[in-house]
Order: sequence, then structure tokens, then C-alpha cells
Amino acid sequence: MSGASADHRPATPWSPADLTVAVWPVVFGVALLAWSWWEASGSPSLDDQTGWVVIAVVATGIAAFGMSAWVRAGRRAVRERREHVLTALEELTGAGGADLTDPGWDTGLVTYPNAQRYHRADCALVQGKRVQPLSARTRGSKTARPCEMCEP
Amino acid sequence: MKLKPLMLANLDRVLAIGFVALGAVLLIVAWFGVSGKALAPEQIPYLVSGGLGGIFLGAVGCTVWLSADIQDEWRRLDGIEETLSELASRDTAIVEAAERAKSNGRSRSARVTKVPM
Repeated sequence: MSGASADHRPATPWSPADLTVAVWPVVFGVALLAWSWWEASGSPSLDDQTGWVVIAVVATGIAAFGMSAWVRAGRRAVRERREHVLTALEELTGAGGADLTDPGWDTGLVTYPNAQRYHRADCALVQGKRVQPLSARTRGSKTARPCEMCEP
Repeated sequence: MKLKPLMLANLDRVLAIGFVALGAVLLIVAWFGVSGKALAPEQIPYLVSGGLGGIFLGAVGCTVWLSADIQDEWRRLDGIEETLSELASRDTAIVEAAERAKSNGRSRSARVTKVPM
């Protein structure tokens, strides 16, 4: 399987750069919010206060942007990792695995790699073996024969 | 299930709930503060500190909860990747053993054909 080994795998989905992008807007937003409150509570004029309320709303928006950047970075890292895992899974099962894109793959019958016959899933000859679903295409091919024992 | 081990295992989620609860408390305090004042200039400081502060803390709680979910998914992917690595190395070993067995069988049959009849 290609990809990073366990030693090089990061422990979290976030990089230090993601932390920087997320933390600074939050810190700036909190500071601006606190400042707005300070100024608004010290001012007797409604007009002045309205201005500070607007600044406080903007500050909350800036902080929310930082938090959403954090979540988006994490989700992006997980999505990329999931794609990597799926690619590895396809590589692993690609050669002998069932063709799941074939609409008729689920015939209820099974076979195993390099087998010439296909069987019912409960056939005694396939018990304990690593079987895979038989596609309708394989069933129709000339190389596949039904098992004489379970007679699928 | 006992509550303490559950909380220790989900510290980030406990923290998230704490933030959301604190945000809710701030909103309630702000509402009480605003409703007790008759003049708008006296109400606005409560709106900024309790109202927007409460919304901010609620958002922090949601972010921490979502981070915990993302971290959990990351750990699950760790496990899946390790299992895939093991399976891949096992499959490689099986293929190599099969190829060895095949080449041994071929050389044995070649020896057999050399035997004069």
C-alpha cells in the first residue's frame, strides 16, 4: 500500500499553519469585542454606542471566520485522507475484487480468486474460504461453471 | 456506564458543552440586564457583552464539538489505514509464496520430462 507510514502520520488533521489561520482572527475578534464593550459602556451617547455595536458585530464575524477556517481545514484534511484510504483499498481489492460498478454484481452467488466454479454462498466447498460476490458478467462467461455439488 | 470515565474520555465534548452552557448563561444575564433598564444607552453594553459574547461562546462550543468529531474520524482512518497496510503486506506474502510454489512445481515437472522413458 502506498502512503505515509505510521511514524510519519500526523496525529491531528490540523497543521501549524491551520492553527495560525484560525487563532489570529479569533484573538483579534475577541479583543475587538472587548474593546467595543468597553467603549460602548463608557459612552452616554446612543449614536456613539451604535457605532461600537456595529464594530462588535464585525468582531464577532471575524472570530466566527477563524473558527470556521479551523473546522474547514480539519474537514478538508479528513476528506483527503479518506480519498487516500479509498484509493489504497481499491488498489488492494482491484485485481480480484468484485466489480461493484456492474449493476448485476449481486447475483447471490460467490466465487474465489482463480476458481473455475461458482457456488451458492452456503455451499460446503466455499466455507472458510475468502469468497467474493459473483458478478452477472462473470456468471455469463464461458470460463465460469456452476458447482456440481450445490448446483447454483 | 459510569459518568466520570465517559467524561474523561470525551473531555473535548465536555468542554464544548461547557462553552455552550456559558454562552447560554451570558445570553440570559444579558436579557435580564436589558429588561431591567429603561434607556437604550444603558441596554447596549449588555447587548455587546452578554448578547454578542454569548453568541461567540456558543460558536466556540460548536467549533470544539465539531473538532472532536473530526479528530475521531481521523483516529478511525488511522485504524483503517493500519489494517489496510497489514492486509497489503499479507497479500504480498501470499502472492510471493504462490509464485515460489508455481516456479518450484515448474522446475520439478521439467526434471520429470528429462527422465528417459
